[in-house]
Amino acid sequence: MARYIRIYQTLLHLNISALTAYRANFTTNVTSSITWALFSIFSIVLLTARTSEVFGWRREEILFLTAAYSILIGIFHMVFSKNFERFSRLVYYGQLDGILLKPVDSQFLVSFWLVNYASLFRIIFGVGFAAYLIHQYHIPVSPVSVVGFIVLVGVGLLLLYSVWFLVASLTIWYPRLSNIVQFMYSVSGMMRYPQEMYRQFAWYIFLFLLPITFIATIPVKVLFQRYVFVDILGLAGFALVLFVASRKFWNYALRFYTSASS
Amino acid sequence: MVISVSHLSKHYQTFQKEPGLVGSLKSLFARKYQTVKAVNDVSFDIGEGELVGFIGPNGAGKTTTLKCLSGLLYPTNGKVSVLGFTPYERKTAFLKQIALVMGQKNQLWWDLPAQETFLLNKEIYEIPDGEYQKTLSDLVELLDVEDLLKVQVRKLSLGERMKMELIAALIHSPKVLFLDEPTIGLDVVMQKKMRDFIEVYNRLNKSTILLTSHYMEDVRQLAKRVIIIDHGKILYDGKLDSLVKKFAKYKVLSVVLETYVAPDKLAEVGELTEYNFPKAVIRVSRNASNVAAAELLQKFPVDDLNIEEPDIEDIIRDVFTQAAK
Amino acid sequence: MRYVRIFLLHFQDTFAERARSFVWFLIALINPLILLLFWRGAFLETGSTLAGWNLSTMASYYLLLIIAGAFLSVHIDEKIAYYDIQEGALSSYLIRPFSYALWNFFIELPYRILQGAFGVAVFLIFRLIFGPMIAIRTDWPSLSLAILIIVLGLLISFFFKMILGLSALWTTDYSGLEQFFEVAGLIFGGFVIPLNLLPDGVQRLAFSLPFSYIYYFPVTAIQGTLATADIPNILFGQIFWLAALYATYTLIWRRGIQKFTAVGQ
Repeated sequence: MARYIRIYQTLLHLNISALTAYRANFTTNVTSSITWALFSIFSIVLLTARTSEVFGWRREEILFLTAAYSILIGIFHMVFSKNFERFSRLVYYGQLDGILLKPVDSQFLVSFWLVNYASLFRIIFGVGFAAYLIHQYHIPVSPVSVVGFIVLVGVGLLLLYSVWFLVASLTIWYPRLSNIVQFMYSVSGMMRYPQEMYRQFAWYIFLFLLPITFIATIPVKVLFQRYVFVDILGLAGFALVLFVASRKFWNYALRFYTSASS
Repeated sequence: MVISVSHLSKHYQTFQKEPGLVGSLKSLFARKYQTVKAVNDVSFDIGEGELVGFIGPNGAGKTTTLKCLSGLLYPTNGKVSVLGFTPYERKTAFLKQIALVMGQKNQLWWDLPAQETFLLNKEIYEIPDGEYQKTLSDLVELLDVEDLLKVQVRKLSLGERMKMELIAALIHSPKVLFLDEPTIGLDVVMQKKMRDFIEVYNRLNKSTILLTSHYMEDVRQLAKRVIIIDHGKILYDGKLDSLVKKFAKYKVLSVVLETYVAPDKLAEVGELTEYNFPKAVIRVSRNASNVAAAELLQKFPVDDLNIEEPDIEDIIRDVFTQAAK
Repeated sequence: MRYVRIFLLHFQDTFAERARSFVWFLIALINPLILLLFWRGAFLETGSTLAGWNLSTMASYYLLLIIAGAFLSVHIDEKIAYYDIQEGALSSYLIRPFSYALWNFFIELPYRILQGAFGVAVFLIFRLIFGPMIAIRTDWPSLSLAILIIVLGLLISFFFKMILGLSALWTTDYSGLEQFFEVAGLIFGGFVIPLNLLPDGVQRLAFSLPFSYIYYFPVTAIQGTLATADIPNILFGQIFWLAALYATYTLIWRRGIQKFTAVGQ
């Protein structure tokens, strides 16, 4: 609804104001953003230095996967990360009440309250690295495949958000599990590698990890025009199902919160 | 009736853990649960514009009741209705008309001027521009914070911050206001200012206010009607004056003596609760107060004599101790 | 004797935090495991060896890294930065007749042991399933030297994190700083690839920073890939870093209290 867009615009504005109030923090955040961006690029370059093909993926394709990952995780960090970090503090310090009293969807408020502009640099690095790879390795891309890539990045983000939110909702039962955020960062890091790599796991573990492995792999496959339609269906299907699940689970968690606390 | 509570109960589970390392190991496997009855079969009605004081000692169930009324808690039993809504459904229309202010919890953005938080609330509560400006200027004037609107919240003193929190909480002109321990942690001067503000706000806006407190001064100044709660049960619901008359079976005679009189002599008139020559305080039953006063004046060299109502605190303490029996 | 009682008290606390501990363990588990998956595929493609590493030594390296990550990653900096400094709990420590460092060490130790235990459990499970593919040194002299290197590694990790935690007195966004050092630790501790596979310049840098002394050398020592001739140098490096970090900690602690008590909370 238009109302939520207006509220988000105000939040975007407030977060910019908060930035200028704390310039030192912003610089630290930018440094850390750039550090992680460089780290992921650096590690994959090192890892693939002596291999030209793994899991059916050529070296430049694996490198591109990291570029896509940087873009995805950059957007995720910008829009959502700080909110997830704040999540467990909210529950632990009883500040969830203040949110529940507002006449706005609580999942919305909890998810979009803070914006981390420093992550823009992560996105820029990702896009830069992607452009470099396309140029360096003469990767054939068409306008259609680029649009498809962008759209599927969006769908992938929805999936990633839903998984995070489902896990984060557990903090209502276990407020001291603030390090679940760190855990999810590690789990999110899984999408940096080709989906095929995870087939090495036993089927039950692979099934469990399946949603995450879709997120970066599929948009890249679409860009490289090496996809199968089922891939897209899988990504979109998981995104939808998990998003609905996240909302239902959140309401269930709130029922518990309002019944069990005092 | 704006607020209607009928047989409200709120129970919740806690678990016991035995102290020591063995206890911790045990708690890994089996936990003993206990049911705490925070609110136990409570009923009352509050009309529009009323200012009601909800008093009780710590842990009495005051905050829990407020949370049930504002929709933060799901009742175990009973019915609650506020402005015609069922609070725990947390409908948008309901939330736009209420406010819950809990002492130390803050909603202001720390690094920004309070004004920014107000603007955010404006969007969240969908307050039209004109109304927003008017409400803001009224509140700012009432609380005298004109110069502080553009100052970063973290640079404000505790008192100034509290005022800003109030504005943020009231910017949407709620019809029903729940105040949980509004004067706790404040110095004497701020407490008085807070009480004055609440009084004026109630009068000007005709808003219904339910405030909890364990300070007598809050009650004395603000609440014409009090609800006394302890251990989750209501002990009294009615006018403050009636409370005094109903529960205070005695009156207090404070005497200033000219020359020293032995305590046991004074005790013949009534219960001698305090004796610091030349002052003495004697308790007598309400009916006999005039007779006792006359007796004192006759028998003893009295310089000054006052017949007083007992302290509200003492009355309420008696109410609690009676209930405990 | 009172130290033992304090230790037990903190151990209790840890039990109450069992879910949290399990999550830390999972975190230490995931990254090495992913890399192992990658190398499995890579070795299948390129053939069996790479600069002295083959799949089995690489596998044992990453698995031991799981334990190293779990046992040697100190997290006390979080408590210091958020709880002691931001929330102000530091004041209560100033009144106690205790060394702040020692007290925090006893808070941290149960977690490390618990995490280490989890890590060892995983390692043993892997050993059972994959058998002798996972190799470690078992003769006493090498083992005892390896244990010494591990203990020194833990102490270096501890003081490094103590200093990091106290830095929250001077910066308001602690997490940015925390992340920077986390990444440095990942690269220069050998979590991405074994340090001797790094390009020359980077390798020299890695061997001069404390991270290699916290993670890489303890792992290679217990693995047996560490040459006996190198051990004196490594011990020297560890002692150097431990002394340097301890001295820095003492300095920062003193300056820190001045700042903390001057500003008030």
